Amino acid sequence: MTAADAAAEDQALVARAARGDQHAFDQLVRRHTPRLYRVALRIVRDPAEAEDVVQDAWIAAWRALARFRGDSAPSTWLYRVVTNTALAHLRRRRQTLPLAEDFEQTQADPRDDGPERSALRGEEVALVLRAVATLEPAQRIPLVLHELEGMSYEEVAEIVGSTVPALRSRLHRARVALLGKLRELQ
Amino acid sequence: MTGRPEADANRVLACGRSPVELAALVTGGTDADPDLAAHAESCPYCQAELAEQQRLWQAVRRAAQAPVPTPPELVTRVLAAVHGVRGRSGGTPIELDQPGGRLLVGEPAVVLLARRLVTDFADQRGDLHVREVAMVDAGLQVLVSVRYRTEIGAAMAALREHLHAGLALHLGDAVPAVDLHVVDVIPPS
Repeated sequence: MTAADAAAEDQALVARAARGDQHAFDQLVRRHTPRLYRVALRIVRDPAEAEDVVQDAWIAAWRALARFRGDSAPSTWLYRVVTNTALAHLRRRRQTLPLAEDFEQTQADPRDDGPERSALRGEEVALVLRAVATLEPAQRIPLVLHELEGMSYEEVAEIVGSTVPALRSRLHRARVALLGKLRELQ
Repeated sequence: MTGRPEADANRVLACGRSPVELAALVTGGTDADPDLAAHAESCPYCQAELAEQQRLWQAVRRAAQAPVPTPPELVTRVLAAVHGVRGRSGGTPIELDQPGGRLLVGEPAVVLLARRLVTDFADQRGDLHVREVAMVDAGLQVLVSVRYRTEIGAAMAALREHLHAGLALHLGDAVPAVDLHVVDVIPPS
């Protein structure tokens, strides 16, 4: 399936779901939950909290479905919902528990690199994500979407409600901050 | 890069250029300044700084490629959560007597209210996670997972009290029975 086919199928599912077809909404959940979880995890870093974010995001999406006008692609809309939910979660959660290391385990590259190389790569990924987690949410979210999720400036600007020039500037500051933090953590 | 982002923002190399300027060449995030690129090509200070930044940025690139497995049964749990707030087909609304008539509060409204109350409580504590809230038979069913070392009995008693008080505020005497289930213990790191 091409990206255009997937987008068209998403549009059709959203339209059916908005008309009350519950199976269509469930299908959207099945199609997009892995990606939304990955974004949530990269933003909040803790697997249990990422699951909270994903659940709340889907409930928010279900409630907002009737207001979705189709101005953006459904996947972009869902990214916006999950990033807004993650941001709200970061603002209100109580930071009394150490961030779980499970996430770092889940980030280890399982490809056949041999255990030693795989472990080293897992440590490196964990270090990067620890550094990302130290950034202010206003920098972290666009950085996750652009640098880790590979989204375009235009898509990220739409999701975070910014202009492309302002986003470029914010991303530059985020990259500089991330480089500095990586150096500090090494 | 000195290891302190705020220090890097002010640092100047011996050639007069700054690491912040050079970062744009490494990360490709902004249109490269051709003058800076030309200068950096032959400047030993810039070359050393660029090499270090490239080494660090490669780690970011590799992190972007690392797979993130979806937890087993996550989709099933999300669907259960969504179905919970969607309400059951033919679900019975809660009836409240008011002066002048009855007030009917539908199942989805009750479930959303209960879910909000449980989420607020969980956020406050930091060691509970909501997994599902739904109407089952005539009562609310609340599934939660807890962090390892949480005192489950005390936590659930406090949750029940919080939930009952919150629901009573909105529903008065018509608060439904609440069944709490701890469905998972999140292992320690």
